[in-house]
Amino acid sequence: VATALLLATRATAFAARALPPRLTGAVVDRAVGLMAARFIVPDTPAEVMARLADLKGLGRDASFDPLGELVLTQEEAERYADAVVKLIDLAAAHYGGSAHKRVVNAAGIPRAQVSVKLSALSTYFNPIDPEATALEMRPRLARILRHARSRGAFICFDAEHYVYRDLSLDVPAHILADMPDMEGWRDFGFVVQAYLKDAVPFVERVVALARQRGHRIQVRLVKGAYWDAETAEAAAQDVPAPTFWNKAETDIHFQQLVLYILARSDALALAVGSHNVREHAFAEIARARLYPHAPVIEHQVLHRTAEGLAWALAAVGWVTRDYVPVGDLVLGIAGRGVERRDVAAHAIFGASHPHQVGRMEAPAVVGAAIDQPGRCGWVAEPLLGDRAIRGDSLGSRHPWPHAKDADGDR
Amino acid sequence: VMATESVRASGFAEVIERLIDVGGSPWTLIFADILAPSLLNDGGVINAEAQTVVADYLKRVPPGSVAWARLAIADVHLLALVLPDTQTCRLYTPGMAQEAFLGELSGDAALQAHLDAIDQHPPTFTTIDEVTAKYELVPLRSPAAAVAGRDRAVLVDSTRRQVEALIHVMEAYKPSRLERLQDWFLEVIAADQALLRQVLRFVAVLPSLRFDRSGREVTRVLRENLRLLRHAQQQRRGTWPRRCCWPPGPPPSPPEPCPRV
Repeated sequence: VATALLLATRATAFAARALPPRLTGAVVDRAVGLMAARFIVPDTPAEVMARLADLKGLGRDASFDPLGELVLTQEEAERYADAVVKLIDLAAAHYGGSAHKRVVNAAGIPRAQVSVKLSALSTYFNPIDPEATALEMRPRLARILRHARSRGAFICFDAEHYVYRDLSLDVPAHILADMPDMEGWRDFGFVVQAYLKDAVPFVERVVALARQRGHRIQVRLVKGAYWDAETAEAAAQDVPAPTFWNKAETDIHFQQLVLYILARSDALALAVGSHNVREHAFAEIARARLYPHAPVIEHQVLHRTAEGLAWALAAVGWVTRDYVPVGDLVLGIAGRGVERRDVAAHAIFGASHPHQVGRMEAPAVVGAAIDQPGRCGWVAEPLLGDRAIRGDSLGSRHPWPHAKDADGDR
Repeated sequence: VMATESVRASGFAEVIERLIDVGGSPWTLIFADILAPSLLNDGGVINAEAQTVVADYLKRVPPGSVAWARLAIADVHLLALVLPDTQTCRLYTPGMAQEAFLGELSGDAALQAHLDAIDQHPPTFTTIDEVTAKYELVPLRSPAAAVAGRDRAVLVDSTRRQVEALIHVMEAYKPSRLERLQDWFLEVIAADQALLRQVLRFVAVLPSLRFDRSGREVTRVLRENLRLLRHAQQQRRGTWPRRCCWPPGPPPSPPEPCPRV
C-alpha cells in the first residue's frame, strides 16, 4: 500500500506539473466538490428540498445545520440568521408544518428541525457576560424562535466549545423568559456532550428549565466534537481539561447519561447522536427494559457518514434523523476538516459500508464497556484517568485514544 | 555544577510529611518542600484550604483503590497519588517536573524514593469512577452493580443481541458504486497519517484561493503539499529525499528518547 501511495503521489505530482494550471484547478474543484456534496448540502432551495425528499424516501428526517460559528461581524450574524430562517421555511414547506399544524415524528418531535449555533448569531458571544450577550443576540434569536413557532419547526441549540456551554442554555432560556408570546412553546432542545466530566449538572439545569416551563425538553446526547481543542487549550493554560482523557471513559459516561436522562423522562426526551451501533442499541434496550414510560428515543447520525447504520436504524423502525450540514461545499469541508479534526476522522473520512462499521464495533466487543471493568470497545489500554497529563505519558507514550476514535461519535 | 553544589549544601530539596484528618482517620501527606508555600501555613501546619481540598477528594476514593487526581490548591495545580493501604497521599507537580529536577540536582534519597513511589503505582480509581461517585451515576464499570434495580447481565445480553440484529440489517445495505469508491478513497486517506495531514492542509487552504481564476495558486499549493507528502513517505521508507539534504549527507539520527519525567 505504501508503495502504491508513493507511486500515486508521484503520478499526481507529475500531472500537476504537466497539466495547464487552469485545468488542474478545475479538476481539484470538481473532485473536492464531489466529495463534499456527499456530506454537505449546497444552500440552494432546490438542493435542500431534494435532500429532504431523499431522506423522506429512506424513512428519515433531517436536522439542518447552517455552516458557520463564532462570527466576527454583524453582517455575518445577520446572514446566519437569514440562513436559519430560510431553512426553517424550506423544511416546514416540505413537511407541511405551520403555527397550527405540528408535523411530528413518532418521538413527538417536529420533523422540520434546524440546529443553531448561537455563537454564529452574535459578535459578542461572551461567557463572562451572559446578559450583554443575550441583549446583543436577542433580536436575531427572537426572530428565529418566532419563525420556528409560526412554521411548526424545532430548534436545537447546538453545543460548541466548553467555555460556551452554559451560554447555550442561559441565553435561550433568558430570551424565551422575556417573550410572553412564546409561553408554552416547547419545540426546542439542547445538546449534552458526554465527554465533559460535568455533563450531569448541565442536564440538571435542563431538567430545571423543563419543569419551570412545564414541558419536556429534548436533549441530544453526543460524545462531543471539540476534544482536540479542549485538551489543547487546557494543556496550554495548565488547567485540568473539562473532558475525559480516555475514549473508554467517555463511552461509559455516555451510557450512564443515557440512563440518567431516561430516569428523568418526566422532564426530558432523549435523542442519541452517535455512530456507535452499541450506543443506539443500549439506549433502546434501556428504555424498553428499565424505563418503558420514557418517550420514544430519536436516533441521530451525521448525514451520509455512517450510511449503513442510519439505513439500519430506520429499517428496524426506530425514529432516525440525519444531521445535515448546509452551506458552501468547499468552505464547509475545509471547516469541518480543520476546526474539528476529531470529527474529521469520520465526518469527512467516514464509513458508510456495513462492513466498515461492523469492524469498528464487532459483536465480540459489544457491551465490553459494562462487561469488562476498565476496558471498553476497541480501546485496549487500561483506563488511565488523567494520567495522560503526566509528563511521562504525554504525547510519546500515551496513545491519545480520543484522537484515534474510530467509531465516529460526535 | 555550581547549582548542584548549592542545592546539596543548602539542603534545599527536602521531603515533608504531615498528618491530616480525613473523616476521623489520620492520613499522611508527602510532598517536596517546593510545594510548602501552597500547602502549609506560617506555623508549618497544613493550611485550611489544602486540608479541605485534599480531604474532600480522599473521602471520595473507595477503600482499596489507588487513585490519582489533579487538585487546585491556592491557585496551584498539584497532582495527588492516593495509596489507601498506607493511608498516604503523595502530592507533586505536573509531570513530576520540579521534583525530578531537584532530585537530580540534590541526589537526595528521600526525594528519589518519593519519585519512585509515584511512578510505581498506577491508579485504579480513575476519573470516570470519581465522576460516577460525585454525581451518583450507575456504576457501569463495576460488573456486579445492578442497573436501576435490574440484573445487569440481562441488559448486557439484550444489548449484545440488539447490536447483532442491527449489524445483520446493516449487511443488507448496498452502497452505490460512487459511495463505495468514495469509501475506499477515504479509507486509504484515513489509514495514512501523513496523507491525511496533507489532505486536510490542502482542503483548508482551498477556500482562500477562490480569487485565483487561473488555477496557478491551487496548482502551487497542490504541488507544495505533494512535495511534503513525498518527503514524509520517503522518510518512512528510510530513503531521505535528495533535494532536502544538499549537499548530500547522512539521514538525521532518530530523536533521543524522552526523559523519564
